[in-house]
Amino acid sequence: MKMRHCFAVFLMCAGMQLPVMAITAQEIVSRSEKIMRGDTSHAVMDMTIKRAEWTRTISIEMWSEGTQKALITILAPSKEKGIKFLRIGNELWNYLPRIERTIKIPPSMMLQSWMGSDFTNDDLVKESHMEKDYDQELLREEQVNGYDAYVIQLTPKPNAPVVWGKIITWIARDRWVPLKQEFYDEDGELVNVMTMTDIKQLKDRRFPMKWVMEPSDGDGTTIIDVRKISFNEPIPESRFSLQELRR
Amino acid sequence: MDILFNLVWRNIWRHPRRSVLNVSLIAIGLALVIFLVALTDAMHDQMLEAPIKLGTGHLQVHAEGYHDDPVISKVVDDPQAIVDVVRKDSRVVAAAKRVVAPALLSAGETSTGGQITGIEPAPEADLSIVHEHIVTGSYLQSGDGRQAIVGRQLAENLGIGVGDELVMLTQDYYGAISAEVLQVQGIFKTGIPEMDAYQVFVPLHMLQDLLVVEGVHEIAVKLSSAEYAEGFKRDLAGKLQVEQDLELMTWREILENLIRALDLDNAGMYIFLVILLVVVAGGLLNEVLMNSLERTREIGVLRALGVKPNQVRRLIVLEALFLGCVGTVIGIMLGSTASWLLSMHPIYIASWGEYAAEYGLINPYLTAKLTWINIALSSFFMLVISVLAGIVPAYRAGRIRITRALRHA
Repeated sequence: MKMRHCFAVFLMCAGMQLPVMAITAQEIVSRSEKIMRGDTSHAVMDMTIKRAEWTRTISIEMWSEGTQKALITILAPSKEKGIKFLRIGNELWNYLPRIERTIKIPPSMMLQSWMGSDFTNDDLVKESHMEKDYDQELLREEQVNGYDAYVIQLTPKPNAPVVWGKIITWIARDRWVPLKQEFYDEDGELVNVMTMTDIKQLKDRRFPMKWVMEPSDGDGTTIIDVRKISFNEPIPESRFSLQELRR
Repeated sequence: MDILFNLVWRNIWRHPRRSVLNVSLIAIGLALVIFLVALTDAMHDQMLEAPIKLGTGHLQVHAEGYHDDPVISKVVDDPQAIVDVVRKDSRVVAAAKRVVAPALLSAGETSTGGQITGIEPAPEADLSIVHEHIVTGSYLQSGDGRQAIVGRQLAENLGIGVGDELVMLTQDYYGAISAEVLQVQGIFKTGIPEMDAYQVFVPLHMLQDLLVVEGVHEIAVKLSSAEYAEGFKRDLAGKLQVEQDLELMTWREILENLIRALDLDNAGMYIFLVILLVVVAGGLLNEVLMNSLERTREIGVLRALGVKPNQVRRLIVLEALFLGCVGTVIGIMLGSTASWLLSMHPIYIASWGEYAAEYGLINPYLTAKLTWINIALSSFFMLVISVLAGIVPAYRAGRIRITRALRHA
C-alpha cells in the first residue's frame, strides 16, 4: 500500500513537473503582434516611395490604441501637411485641410494604395490581425538576416475580413521580432514582400526600425524608417475623434 | 439599228401619258435619293464639326499611349517647344495646351463625377467655341487663380451658381489625393450632355500645381481647313525634335468612333434608298411589261417578218433604258437644284435644338451638301435599275411564239 501511494504521488509530481514544451504557432504570432502594437503606440516615421521615374518622402506621425483606433497625421511635404487619417473600428476617415473636409473611405477602398505608396489603407491602419483573423501553422525554423526564426504560415479564417489568401511570416525566436512577411493573394500568387531590419532595443522591447515593402511586380518599393516610437504611453481619448481631425 | 430606234421612239409616244408618268417616277425617285443623301451628308458634316469646334481641334499631340490610356502621369514634357514649332506653320490658326484630370466634384452635400481641364484662356478661345456659349458669369481670364467655368447641367445637378464654391478631389501625379476649392466664375451651355454635365475648365497653371505635373497632357491645334490635317501631321512629325515619344493624331483618328457611327448611319440610309429604288424599279417594270404584253400581236408580226428574238429583246430593253435616261437626267436636275437651293438658304429650326444636341450638334441647320459621288452613284444605280426593269419583260417578249402572237388581240 505504501508503494502504491508513493507511486501515485510520484506520478502526480512527475505530471506536474511536465512543462508545456512546444510553443504553438498561435502563441508566437500573438507575442509578435504585441511587440508591434502595444496597448498604445506613438511613432514618427518617414515613408520613402521609390519608382522608376521618381522618389519621394512623406513624414507622418501616428498614434494607435489597441487594435481598434489609429490616427495618422502627415507632417511633410508641405503640399500634404495637415492631411489626417482616422480609424475607429471598421471605419476610416480622411481629413483634407485644403478643402476643410472630412471624407469617409469606404471599405471597398481599403485595398487602394495609401498616398501612392505600396502600402494599402488597410496596412496603414492595421485593420487585419494576424492572430485573430488567421489560422497559424508552424512550418519550420530557419535563419533570416542572421536571426533564428520561426516560419509560420497564416491562412485566413472563413469570414475573416482579410484581403490576403495566405501570409508567410518569419518571426525571430529572440523576443518575437517580426523579420519578414510574404503576402499571397487568393490564387496563391506572391504579391508583396515586407522585410524588417534595423532592429533596435527600445525601453521594453526590440523593434524593427526599418520596414521595406516590395511588391512582386517590380514597380518600385516603399521604405518606412521609424524615427521615434514609444509604447503604452497614455493617449487622451479625444485624440481618436472626428473633432480632433479638424484641429 | 436605225429601225430599232425608230420603233422605240414610236412605242414610247404611243402612250404619251404613260411614258411621261414613268419618266416622272424615275425622275422624282432619283431626285429624292440625291436630295436625301445631300441632306445626310450635310448633317454628318455638322456632327463632325461640332466636336472639332468644341475642343478636339484638327490635330492633337500627346505623350505616346495617352489616347488609349489617359493616365495623369503620361505628360508631354516640353509643351512650349512643341507649340513654338507648331505656330510657325502658316496653316495653324490656334494651338492650345491642356491638362486633364478626372475628379470628384462636390458642393454642399452633393457630389458627382466629372472632368477638369486646365486651359490657357486666350489660346483656348481661339481654338474652341465654348467661350462663346457662356450663359451666366464670365469666361476665364489669364491670371485667374482658382476660378472655374462649369457646364450648365453640372451646375444644376450640384445646385451651384456663379460665385459659389466647388470642391474638387482628384489624384495627383504620385497617386496621392489632391483637393482644391474652386470658385465658379461662369456657366456655359453648349447643349451637348457630355460637355454640360461633366466639364469644368480651370486655369492651366493652377491645375498643374495641384497635380504636381510640369508638362501638359494634350496640345490641340486648329488649322485653317480640316483637309490640311493629314499633311500637317506629316510635316509636324518631321519637324519635331524632342526626346520623348509622342503621338500625333488627326481629328479623323481621334473621332474614329464617331466616324464609324456615321458610316453605320450611312449604311442604314443606303438600305432605305435601295428600297426606294426598288419601288421605282417596280413601277418601271410594270409599265414595260404592260407595254410589251399589249404589243404581243405587233411583236408577232415583227417576228414573222424575220426579226430575231434577240432583237425584240433589245428593243424592249432600249425602251426601258431610254425612259431611264430621260428620267435620270431630269432627276439629277431636280435633285441638284433642290439641294443647291437648300444649301444657299439653310433652315434653322430652333425646336429641333434639344433633339439635335443628343446627336452632338450645336445650333443645327437643315442644309444640304451636294457631291459628285452622290450624283454619279445615284444616277448609275438608277440607270442600272432601268435596264433591269426592262430585262424581265424583254425576256418574255423574246419567247413569244409567232403563231400564238398573231392570234392575239
